[in-house]
Amino acid sequence: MEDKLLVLKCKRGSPDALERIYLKYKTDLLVLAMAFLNDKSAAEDVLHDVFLSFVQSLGKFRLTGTLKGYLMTCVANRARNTNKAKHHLSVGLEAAESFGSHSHEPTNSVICNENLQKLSGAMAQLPYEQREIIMLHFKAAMTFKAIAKSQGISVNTAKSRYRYGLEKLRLILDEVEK
Amino acid sequence: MKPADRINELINKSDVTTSSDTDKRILADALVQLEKLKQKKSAATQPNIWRTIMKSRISKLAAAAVIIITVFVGIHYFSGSIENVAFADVMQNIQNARTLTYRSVITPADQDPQVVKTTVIEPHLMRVELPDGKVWILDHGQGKGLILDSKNKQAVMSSTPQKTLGLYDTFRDFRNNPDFSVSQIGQRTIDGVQTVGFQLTRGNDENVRIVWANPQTSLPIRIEQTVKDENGRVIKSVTTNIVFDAELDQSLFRLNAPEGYTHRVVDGPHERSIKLTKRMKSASNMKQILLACIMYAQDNKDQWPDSLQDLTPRRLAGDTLINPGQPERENGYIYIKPSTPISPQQVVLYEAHDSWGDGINVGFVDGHVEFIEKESMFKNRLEDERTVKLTKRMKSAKNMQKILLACITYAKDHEDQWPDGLQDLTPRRLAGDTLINPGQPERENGYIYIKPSTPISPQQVVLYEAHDSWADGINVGYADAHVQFIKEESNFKSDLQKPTKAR
Repeated sequence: MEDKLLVLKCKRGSPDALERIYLKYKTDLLVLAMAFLNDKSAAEDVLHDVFLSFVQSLGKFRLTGTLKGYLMTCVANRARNTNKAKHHLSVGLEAAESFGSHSHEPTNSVICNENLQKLSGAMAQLPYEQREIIMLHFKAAMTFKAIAKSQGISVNTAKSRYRYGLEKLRLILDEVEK
Repeated sequence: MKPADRINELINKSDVTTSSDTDKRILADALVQLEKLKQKKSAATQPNIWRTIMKSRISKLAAAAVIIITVFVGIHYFSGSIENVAFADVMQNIQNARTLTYRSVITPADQDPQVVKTTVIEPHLMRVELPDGKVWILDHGQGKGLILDSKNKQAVMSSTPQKTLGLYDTFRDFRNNPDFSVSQIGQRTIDGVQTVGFQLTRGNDENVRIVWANPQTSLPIRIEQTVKDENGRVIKSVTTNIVFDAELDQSLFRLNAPEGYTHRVVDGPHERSIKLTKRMKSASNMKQILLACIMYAQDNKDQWPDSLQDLTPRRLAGDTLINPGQPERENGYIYIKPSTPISPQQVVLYEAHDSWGDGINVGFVDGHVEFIEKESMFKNRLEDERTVKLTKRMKSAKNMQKILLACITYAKDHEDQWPDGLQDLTPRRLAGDTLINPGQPERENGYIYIKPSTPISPQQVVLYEAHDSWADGINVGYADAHVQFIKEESNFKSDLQKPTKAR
């Protein structure tokens, strides 16, 4: 109910409501973006872009599920685009190393705890599709059906990616902990 | 630990913090976007005056008349060589015209031509005589309009100031913000007078305005206009008999019904349809709220929510709580948690309102919504609620007196010892249903009994109504067998302490 009212207030132009939404979900969204991208600056950019898009679309926006779920899906989509761009750049410009810091200098504005560093480091070794499903399932509490729908894949494919990703992640974490 | 649990734990323990600069930057950018959105929304919700006034036939004609005025006012003040005069400059210099009359033949799309006679006294008064014998008098200063129907001897006062102000503003805007460009289109003889033609265009506006003016007097002789309504249908008008600054009878503009006319005050058809639409939307919202309440009660042992905030987003969309008729109110509806036992005619929801107006939508326990026009009827419905509550409260007090008397009788038979519990009161002393509180029949034990301490003080609380939360108050029974309704919880708690003090 609170989210519905916050969205409603935002639609009416309330800066307080917008700030409340931002403060309420920024951490979850950043953790998700970090797990997808393993890049603080890029994750921060994703958060920035998602919030701006959210405000821009407020006129037509109608909350049908949860606001958290909506914002997390936005982060997933935006991170996917960033990832594609990153891949494109790394191939086209042979600038894979420099892209890690994106367009900014390494930033101290986003500080990750040890667990998140470990998580995003391990996630970075998974295929992107598997990262997405694992994070959306665990962090956004989305069902496989919902994830499959949002990504345009079958439920079975989503489950397979989840299984393979989980197994691979386990091996990576075992290796790290050794 | 399973891999899934391990990953889940790692994700849950993952944390990130952002600097205040990052937060400020993102929020600042988002707020800029929010401000843009507000401005865009504000522009989009500006009333489309043309659309508003073109809804009814009478409005179409009157609106056309208003637009015609703007052209007159402009052309009247041309002097000398028209083509050398900047139209905008001339418009800005308009100060002196005080009256204007003209006759227009207006041909709305798919209709026969209509002759309309218009008279204007600056700055507030306008009179439009329509072909069906009706006369529309507008007083923009008061924001009121009067329609006189000479055939049916009816006078209808329009209480729609926005609409009349809209017309007035249109007139004002045209005068104060002229951005027409003028081009000469040749000469023509009209009624034996040689005239010069000018075409007025404005931006990408496709509407055509041609003014034929007498170059000797700089006065317009004939004005031809072709404009499109919001559906793209063409409306043509030809205006002649144009006279500036004629002496006019002020009494023609009075907003009084002539003698022998029936008089009533109504909204225009457009306003009525808007109101009706909003009322229906509001009723639809209320039905959704009631349905959500009923579903809530089904999931919560027949207990309705304490407030509408208890309805989760799953049950109710947030904007459903906004009354479309009063979107500025955060809580558009007043909710009253129904008392038990629930009767279908209990009022549980109604539209918040400062003044009564035409009526309000009222929602009942059974989920239906009614529009109640009379305030007295609404109050009666609410009063019914109170009467039902009061009756139950009185019945409960009587039950409690019976219980107390039964206790006293018991004490007489048991060496002044009161019963240990109400179950000690045999059926001979007390009917079983007396222990049921009529206000809460679902409770097996409707009353809480406290065995009085000795020596017994008459003011000791020995019985009171069981309750989960404090609402209006409860009935409380004392050792001297009197029962009192206590409104304040603090007073009740204070009374509960009395036996201790007595001891």
